Amino acid sequence: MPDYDAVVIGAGLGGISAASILAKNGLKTLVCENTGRVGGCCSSFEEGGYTFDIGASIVELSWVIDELFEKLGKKTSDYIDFIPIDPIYGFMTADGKRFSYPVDKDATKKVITEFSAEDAEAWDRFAKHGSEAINFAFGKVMTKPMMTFSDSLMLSIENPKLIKYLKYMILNFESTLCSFFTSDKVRASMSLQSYFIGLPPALCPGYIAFLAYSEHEGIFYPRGGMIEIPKGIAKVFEEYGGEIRFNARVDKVLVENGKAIGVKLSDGTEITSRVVVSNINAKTLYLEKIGREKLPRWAVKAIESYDVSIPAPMIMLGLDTAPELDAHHTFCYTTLEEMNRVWFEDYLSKKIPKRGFMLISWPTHADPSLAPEGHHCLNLVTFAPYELSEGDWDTIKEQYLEMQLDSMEKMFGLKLKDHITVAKVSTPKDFERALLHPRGAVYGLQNDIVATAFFRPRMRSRAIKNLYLTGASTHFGGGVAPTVGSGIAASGLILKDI
Amino acid sequence: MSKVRKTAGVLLLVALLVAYMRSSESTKRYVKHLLKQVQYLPYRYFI
Ligand SMILES: Cc1cc2nc3c(=O)[nH]c(=O)nc-3n(C[C@H](O)[C@H](O)[C@H](O)COP(=O)(O)OP(=O)(O)OC[C@H]3O[C@@H](n4cnc5c(N)ncnc54)[C@H](O)[C@@H]3O)c2cc1C
Repeated sequence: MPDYDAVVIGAGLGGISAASILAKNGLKTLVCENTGRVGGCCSSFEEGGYTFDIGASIVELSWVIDELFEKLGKKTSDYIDFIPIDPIYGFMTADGKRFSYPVDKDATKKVITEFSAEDAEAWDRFAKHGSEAINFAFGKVMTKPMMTFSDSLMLSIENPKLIKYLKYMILNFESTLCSFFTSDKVRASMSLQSYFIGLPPALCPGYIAFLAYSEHEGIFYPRGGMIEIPKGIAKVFEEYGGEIRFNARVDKVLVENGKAIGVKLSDGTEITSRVVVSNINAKTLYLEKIGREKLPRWAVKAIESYDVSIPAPMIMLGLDTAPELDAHHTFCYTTLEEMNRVWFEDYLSKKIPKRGFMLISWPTHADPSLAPEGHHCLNLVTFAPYELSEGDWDTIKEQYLEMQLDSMEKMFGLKLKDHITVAKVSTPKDFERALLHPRGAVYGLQNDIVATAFFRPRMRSRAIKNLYLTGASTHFGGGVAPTVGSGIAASGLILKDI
Repeated sequence: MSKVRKTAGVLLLVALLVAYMRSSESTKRYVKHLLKQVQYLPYRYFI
């Protein structure tokens, strides 16, 4: 008799969401988490009186979280207090311009009119396409497994709009954006979203461009910090009798005759279970936790063929005053070409981008309780390579902090240095050590269109029986909503199979 | 029949090549990036 019905490796959003549904359905479920808290990339920690987010800074497509709570027989608002965010972005450009996009579509149209009357008209078309594409085509498949051609065929029959928008899976992000907008300024202002799946506009699939619209259907920040989302889900999990073991690193998935039968922790403890659910990077799972020797050759070839996603060094700042910003998120940028250049010239040559772009998130704008009175928290996020052509992340931390603060001041006129009370740099190496994400990858596997849907690792493993996958390495990829969706989808498969 | 198929195949290839040559620099980069991974798709489909 196995110790548990299900053992889940990792308490990230995918893992804890799947676990909660399994527990609700009466399965004896254990979550083993390497760190001391839930949430993985969607989490927060305290330092010097400030609450900093580890990764994610906003939730869009929040209906996926509502769907999870509904499946759990609960109401989201009883567990998570979502604060609506408006405006969506403040923008700071290198030529000194500052503006923002409010949630209201018509108000955003007015802002766009200042750049180009033609693009303001195009915004209406973009919003119409975006609404349909996100709500009726791509959004609908977010909580469903898509492991085979027939899965996608069935999903297309259920959502015929998927076929209408198929061309945006073939076009790239840049061409999609350029097919609507002509002004360089407008195009650039909507180019950040490609990096939300870790790719530059030239390599990112086109449908992601519509995120620039879907945000206008509402974005939210949970009161108390991003950790409140996984904490809320974990609370329901525990109410249904689920168990979380913190500081419990899984070293091996126990495999017998091609079947997963449990896990072995780093302290040597063996835990048996009817199914094993992995919420960790699929490359780590298959190549390290299972091992090449236990896998068929085709599986090794498949899993080795994926690149892991890009890393994102982060600077977390505690300030003794409010920063001179206009919104929860500020996008500091120059041009769309620059967004590509960062990848092709800097990232691929292992250089830290010196100009580039930056996303600043200001959580205390929405929730002042995250810092001492009158103080504020800021997170500065950009993308950079894991390996560097010169130096090593561990030795250049201070230099990196100085460089980014200088560049924010010189390029965008944002003066922060004199107000810093706490400064922390989380490098790709730190990220790897903290969350065991290979090469500091932020979104699991690289989200190329040829590593999406049925070309991404299946939620029900074909290589190892009784093994299920959730999280950013599976369909629909990274993001708060998609990984919660993956938990819903994977648990659905388990409940069907067990 | 096989001659017709061959001609259709060649025409399709030529059409794809022309479309590629006429596409923007951005599309070319995208296509090249994806083509590098095409060889792995049969494996990826099953994992
Ligand atoms: C910097 C950054 C900014 C982001 N911003 C946003 C945003 O604003 N909005 C948005 O929607 N998304 C954002 N994302 C993406 C989103 O946060 C992630 O895609 C999502 O949270 C990943 O969830 P997951 O289920 O894949 O699990 P993960 O978060 O990857 O969690 C995996 C868990 O497994 C644990 N673990 C790993 N190995 C082991 C082991 N061997 N044994 C036991 N436990 C183990 C880890 O400690 C971790 O807790 C951001 C991500 C990052 C990194």
